[in-house]
Amino acid sequence: MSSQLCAKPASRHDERDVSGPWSILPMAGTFVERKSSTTTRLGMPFVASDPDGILLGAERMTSAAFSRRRQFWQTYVSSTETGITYAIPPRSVKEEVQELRDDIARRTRLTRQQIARALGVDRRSLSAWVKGVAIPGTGKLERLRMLANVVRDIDATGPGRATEVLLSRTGGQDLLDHIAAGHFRRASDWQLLQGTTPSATIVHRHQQRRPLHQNALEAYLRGELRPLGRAATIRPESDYEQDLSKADRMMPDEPVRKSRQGYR
Amino acid sequence: MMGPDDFYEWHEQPRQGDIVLCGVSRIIAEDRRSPSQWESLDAHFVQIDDAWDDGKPLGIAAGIGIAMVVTHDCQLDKEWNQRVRELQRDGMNEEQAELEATYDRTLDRTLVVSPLVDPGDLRGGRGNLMAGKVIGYLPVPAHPAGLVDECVVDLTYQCTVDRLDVVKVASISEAARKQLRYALIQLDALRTAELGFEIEAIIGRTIREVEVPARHPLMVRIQLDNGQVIELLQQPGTPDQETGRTEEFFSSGSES
Repeated sequence: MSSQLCAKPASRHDERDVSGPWSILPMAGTFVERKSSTTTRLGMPFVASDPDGILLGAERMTSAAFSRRRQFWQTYVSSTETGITYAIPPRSVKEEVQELRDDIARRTRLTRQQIARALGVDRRSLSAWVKGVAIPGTGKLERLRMLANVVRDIDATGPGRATEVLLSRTGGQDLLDHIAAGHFRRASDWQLLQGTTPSATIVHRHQQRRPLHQNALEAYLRGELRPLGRAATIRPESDYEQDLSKADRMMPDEPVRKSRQGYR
Repeated sequence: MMGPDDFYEWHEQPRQGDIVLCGVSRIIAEDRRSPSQWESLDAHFVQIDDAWDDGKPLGIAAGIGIAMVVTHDCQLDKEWNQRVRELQRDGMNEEQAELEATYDRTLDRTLVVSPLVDPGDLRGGRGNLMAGKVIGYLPVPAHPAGLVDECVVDLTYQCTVDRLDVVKVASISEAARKQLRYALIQLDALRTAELGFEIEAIIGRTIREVEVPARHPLMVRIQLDNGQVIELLQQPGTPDQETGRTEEFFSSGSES
């Protein structure tokens, strides 16, 4: 998995401990914090023309930054015109599953059962992956990554809407079902599937007669009628209370009648 | 039917019985059938495809209509009252609390209305309908300023509307409101609502509370609005063989 490497400018306090262009290195710990959904920006573009120079630069670092060097070096650094891309060092599947699951749970109100449904498995399988008792197949892991990406994408469009969007049903299926069925190619596909929400047809009936409300409507259009105001009468709280236990005592029994069967 | 002078009476505040101009709607089946009395209300049909998730659409008939507010007065300002009390509990004085709640547009937004329809389009006979003899309908005389034609409120059609999309046309007298409440009771809750009202009519007071004391199951204690209590005592007797009830329930009474 690759991510855009970004960071906020280093604080002035940090600048004393580092030298040369390698001021990036003390920040490596920040970069390695795996918030792949979070995009931070570099203060300035950083171009590394010689990867060996990075090592040398790192060796000139203070002891405070030294402990981070190894972690940083483990990442594959490549330069671009606008910044640096790096690949997160291999993580265990167990760690990734837990991270993705927790990220999804944090951003939504989906239950673990619902998350598992999007992967086409049950809750126990998902739990077994997190515990490392079992390993998900490539397809399942891809679906989990896709679900996490979809959640982030929805979150970015409308914060707090992810659960509602994921559980909205079209054609008898919600988006979790669509993810499980492999209908998603990109995270943004949820917008296409949302686009298939029920369409509406509107038919206007031609009125044969002058409707009963016509006089009032004309008066309204002439500005003679006012909107209904609001009722504001102070009442005791007891006016809003009921005691259903009185029903049996006070209500007469309905006579038994032969009635129509059902409503269809 | 009441005459216009007895029926109409302007009140500024929203009340049960207000006649309003608003949108009304109802859920309809796929064949879009409109009973004749609702044809003018069913001006637009909206069909939402696959709303049932099994391919079946959801149909709605909607239109502008003239309607009567059937929501009880208490319900019209229920949330307003709750908010006022809440603000007072938080230390605000009553006047400020009322003012703040009054400007809160989120409170008491909904009310239930029943449309006015032409009695000529209804089964049951115009005469009976306008005489108020048909359950489910309340006769409405023509408005003095011509805003409402002679018609009936169709209480069998009720829909919830937003207060902010409602225009007030007229309001009605207390006597007319009593007729409305009675018609609502008869339609929705009690086909035999007369007994309590008849007792009230005979004694000339409103009944506030009725109870059967646990220690005296043969007694019915009726508390009136002026604080008086009437105790109705059922005489022990031989139950009817078929109904299991004694006949003379109101055979004697005492007033205290």
